[in-house]
Amino acid sequence: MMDLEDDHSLLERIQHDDNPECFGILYERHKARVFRIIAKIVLDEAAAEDLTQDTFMKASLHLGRFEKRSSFQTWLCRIAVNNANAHLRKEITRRRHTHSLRSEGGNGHNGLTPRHSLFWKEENSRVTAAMETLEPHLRTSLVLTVIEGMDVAEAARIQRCTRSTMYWRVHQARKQLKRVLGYA
Amino acid sequence: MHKGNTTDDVLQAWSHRIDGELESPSASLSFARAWEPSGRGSLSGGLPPPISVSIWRIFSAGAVCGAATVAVLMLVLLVLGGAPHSGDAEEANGPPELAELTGVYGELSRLFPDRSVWVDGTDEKLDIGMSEKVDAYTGMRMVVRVEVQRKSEEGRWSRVWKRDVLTAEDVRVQSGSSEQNEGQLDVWIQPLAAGQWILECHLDLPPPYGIRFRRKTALEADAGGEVMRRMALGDDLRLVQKLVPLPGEDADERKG
Repeated sequence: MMDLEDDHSLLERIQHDDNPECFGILYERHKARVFRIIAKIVLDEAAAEDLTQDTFMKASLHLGRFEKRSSFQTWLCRIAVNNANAHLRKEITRRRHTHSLRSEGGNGHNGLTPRHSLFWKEENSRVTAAMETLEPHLRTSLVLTVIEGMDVAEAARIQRCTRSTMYWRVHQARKQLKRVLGYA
Repeated sequence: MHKGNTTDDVLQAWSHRIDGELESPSASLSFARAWEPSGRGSLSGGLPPPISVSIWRIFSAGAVCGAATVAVLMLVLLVLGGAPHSGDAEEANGPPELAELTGVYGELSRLFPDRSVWVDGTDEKLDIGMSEKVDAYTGMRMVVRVEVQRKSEEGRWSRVWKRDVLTAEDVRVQSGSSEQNEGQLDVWIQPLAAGQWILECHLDLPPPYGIRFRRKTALEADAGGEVMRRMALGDDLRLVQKLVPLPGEDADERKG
């Protein structure tokens, strides 16, 4: 029966009954979308799997901070996006440190994500390479709106920015992607 | 958001191809809530049963250490107050668990400063281990308690099996042995955020408990809880985990 309850009822039960099983239901319900979003931001499914787990673990530990002003999904996506962006920042820093040791590659792949990832399969690599050129906040904006179909207001809540900033980010991301893909 | 331009179409087609091949995370996660906090450095609510140092064995990450190491470890025993005891259980003095674990751990760390070491114990014995290769740890040290409790007819939970593992973050500990029918426990603590960790625990416990458990659990310091419950031979059993940073290891310093 618990599977049929909405997120807020399950959260109420977690708070009042101290029932960790309810959070397991929330995990099963939302993990696929969280995983999808993270994977397309970090462009690496293996890292995305770890980051998805981290997202839910952080959420379970910080449930007391969820104020129910937004949906649970929005709150969860915010944690996921923060996790993914923190991972990207770390990766970018790591690449900068090792840049001088890396031999020059010839396929436009800048080495931030592993080549064995499905993102780098032949049919996907062109768009993946273009996505990789976007700054994390621009990439995230595009993933949330154009790919996940969220409205600008929800995407702005997740990225903690104004709607006009979100419009600007999506516009910039599209413009850059167009240029890189050769459509400009 | 306005759709329909070429870039969006290309992006969505790319996304659909990716989604078609992405496999959803399969990992099982456990979300334990705070449970019976009993203060830093304490593992037990009441008086725990004593540990008798009766058997000593050496584990390494992949291979058993050599005879020279064994000799050194025998010295550790002497430093700690005597040679190994025989199979007869010795009545120890008071609750020794944390003091004994930290004492042995401290000696091992001193003798092998460039290895990751760990100590783990059941109610009956202590095991010690170290990494095969040089890899001095830098993480916080902490004690993981994994225990099986049985529910009595009166509805009270009492411990029927436990293992404490004193280790550091990011050290994979393999303890126990399935061959000797004593159960095998692997634990791995990874830092998550300030004051929070992920505990990866694999437990294979033979009958009468018959527990096979593999899960990652998010835990806070001095917290833990029930992570599994099952009926075995008519007994209502539950598996409980707890994580306790050692005194002097300040999780707050990890911030930033």
